Amino acid sequence: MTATQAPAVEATDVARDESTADLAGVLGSADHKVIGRLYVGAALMFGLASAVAGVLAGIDRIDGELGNTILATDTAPQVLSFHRLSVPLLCLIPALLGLAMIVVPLQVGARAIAFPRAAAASFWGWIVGAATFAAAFALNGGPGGGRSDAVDLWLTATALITASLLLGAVCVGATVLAARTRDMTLDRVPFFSWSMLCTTAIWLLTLPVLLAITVLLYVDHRFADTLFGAGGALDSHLDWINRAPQVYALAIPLLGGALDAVATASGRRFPNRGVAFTLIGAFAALGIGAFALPTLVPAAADQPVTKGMALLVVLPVLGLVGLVGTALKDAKPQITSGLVAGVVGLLVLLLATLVGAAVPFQSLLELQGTQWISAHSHLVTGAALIGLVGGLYHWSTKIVGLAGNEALGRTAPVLIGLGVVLVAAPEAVSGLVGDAEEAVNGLEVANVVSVVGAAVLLLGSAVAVAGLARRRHDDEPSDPWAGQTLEWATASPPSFDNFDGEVPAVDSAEPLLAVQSEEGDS
Amino acid sequence: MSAATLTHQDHEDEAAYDLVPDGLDPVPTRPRLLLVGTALAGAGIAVFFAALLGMYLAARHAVITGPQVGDVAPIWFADSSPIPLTPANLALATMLLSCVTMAWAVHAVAHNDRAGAYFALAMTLLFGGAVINATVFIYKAIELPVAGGSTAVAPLFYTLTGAHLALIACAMVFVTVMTLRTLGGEYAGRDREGIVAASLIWYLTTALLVVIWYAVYVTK
Repeated sequence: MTATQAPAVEATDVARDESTADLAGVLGSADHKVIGRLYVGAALMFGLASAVAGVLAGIDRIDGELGNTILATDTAPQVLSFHRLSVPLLCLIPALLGLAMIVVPLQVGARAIAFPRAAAASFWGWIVGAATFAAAFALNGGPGGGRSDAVDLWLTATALITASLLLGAVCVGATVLAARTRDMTLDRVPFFSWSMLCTTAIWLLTLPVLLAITVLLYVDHRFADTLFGAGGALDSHLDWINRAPQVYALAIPLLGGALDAVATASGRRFPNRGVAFTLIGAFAALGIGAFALPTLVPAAADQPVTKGMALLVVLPVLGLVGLVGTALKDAKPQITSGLVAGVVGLLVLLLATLVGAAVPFQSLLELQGTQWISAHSHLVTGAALIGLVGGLYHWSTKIVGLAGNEALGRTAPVLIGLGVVLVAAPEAVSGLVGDAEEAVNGLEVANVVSVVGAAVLLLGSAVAVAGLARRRHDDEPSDPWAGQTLEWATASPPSFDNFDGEVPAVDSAEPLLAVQSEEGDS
Repeated sequence: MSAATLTHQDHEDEAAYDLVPDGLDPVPTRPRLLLVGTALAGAGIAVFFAALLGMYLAARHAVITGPQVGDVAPIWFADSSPIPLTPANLALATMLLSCVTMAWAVHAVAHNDRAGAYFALAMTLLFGGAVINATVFIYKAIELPVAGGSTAVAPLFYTLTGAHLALIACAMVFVTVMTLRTLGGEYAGRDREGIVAASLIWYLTTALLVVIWYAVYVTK
């Protein structure tokens, strides 16, 4: 059996899949693919709830005032808070972590993820925390909640979520660092694995800060109320994870996933791998935002280092866009869903970094607390969402065991990209040209356009899910793209221990490309 | 059907409910997986305490450089809640001593000295318990109420030192489990990754106490 001829799903594999599909098999599983699927599935469900909350808040704010149309005055800020905090904590970070848990061990040739039971504990801790988080909001908790016990519950849930995500990050990071197969040196790991290593490093440097603040908020809120005050003030101490520069940490996996999809679609070695690695690392380093949290540094946005980071972060994205152009030049690439998502995601991220370059100058440009800041967050999280969709389609045969509908897979990133731009552009305009009240709550016309954009974004997300939801056939391809990296040498879905027989030898960054060339020659 | 597939069949039941692959080629392709994971977790722990300490120092700086209230100069710990330095010094000395016994445990495991390893482990745990005892003694001595204070000293002090107590307790459990697993045969003298990983966390715990001792107890 050659490396490119991944074994078809044999009878025994099907039998094992059936045995692991029962409830006990799923609940007790420490298989990284099962945990990853659980993570992705649950995160998408919470993402839907978060999107609905965002749309409700958007509709309510159409007239330029939050809390007087379809939501009560005290409910509207809570709905908006739920949307803002749940997008990273309940949707994007866990979904990207789940995708990494499935794909990274396959890419680096590992039989399992590092610390499989810790990975399982990470998911179960997160899902309990996420459910409690949502319940606390429903019980009038949350940052501005009127019920003190529910606020404490919300803080406990946030701490549990953060600790669980950190545990998952340790598993993924350790897999890349210490569970690679023989001869897979760090400079030979696929781009997505490299980007996840950078992402986990940034999460390990920043999420503990979120955890520390949450623990302190809990102690202060429950016992003292002297440090942070009560009510909505709590929100401002956690909201930095949604703001520049920390929000960029959500988009790092997009970079790796996009480059992997581009390399696969081009059918050639990706040029300048070292430069690409450096640019991904640079983008990650410029996304460290924990130092800028307002709890420690009230005037963080005015610090020279913050301004420098915001200006410099454009360069790595611009460089990666250039590298993608170079890779695709004269290549006659397959127009795959992964390629479309990668390119659209990179362009949206480039736009986001350009918008973000103005954020540290908010005092000078009178953008403080305006819709401009929201526009930047929406663009970055939108780019991360496009990256997630691209990853789900690119590795769909490894994730769910079936090839996604390519037409829908190519359409969804475009719709999501369009929706994000429609959401963000009116916000940016409101922030720039609106008077004091309009700059904060948005111009009425612009708010209507934003809601339309949110609807397009939701439609794109629904199209993405629809393209992946179909019945599995017996002839699902193991490698639909003639991939170059080790994950394409596995069956679809991969067997319990990932590789049937020996892991293919690794003698370059594209171990399967040489085999394909030899087969082509013969 | 390949030979590899047949092997999978043999492990099918285990695969369904345990799902940690160990039937095929279990040899880690790279050593020190546990050490790398522990180092990553240790980095996260260090950042967590750095954040807490940063907030503690920022709040203290804001108070002691703040405006005078009436005739009273701004102070961090009120005169009614003085921090006793002696038990804090004792806690630090004990923790430093525990590093010696921890290193002894690692050395004993490396040389398959079972009795020595058990004794060193017991001493390390005893010292860890003594540090917890000393900190609780400080809590009782200063009589600092959490609620009702005019500054944020109480929540910050209890959060920072309490989190460190929790870390000591977790490190004690980790050290115990890893020592027993090593002596139970999961690791061997030549492959003592588990106990080395546990010692890494223990040394980190000690280093954090050194910082807390200086920033909280000495400079007050």
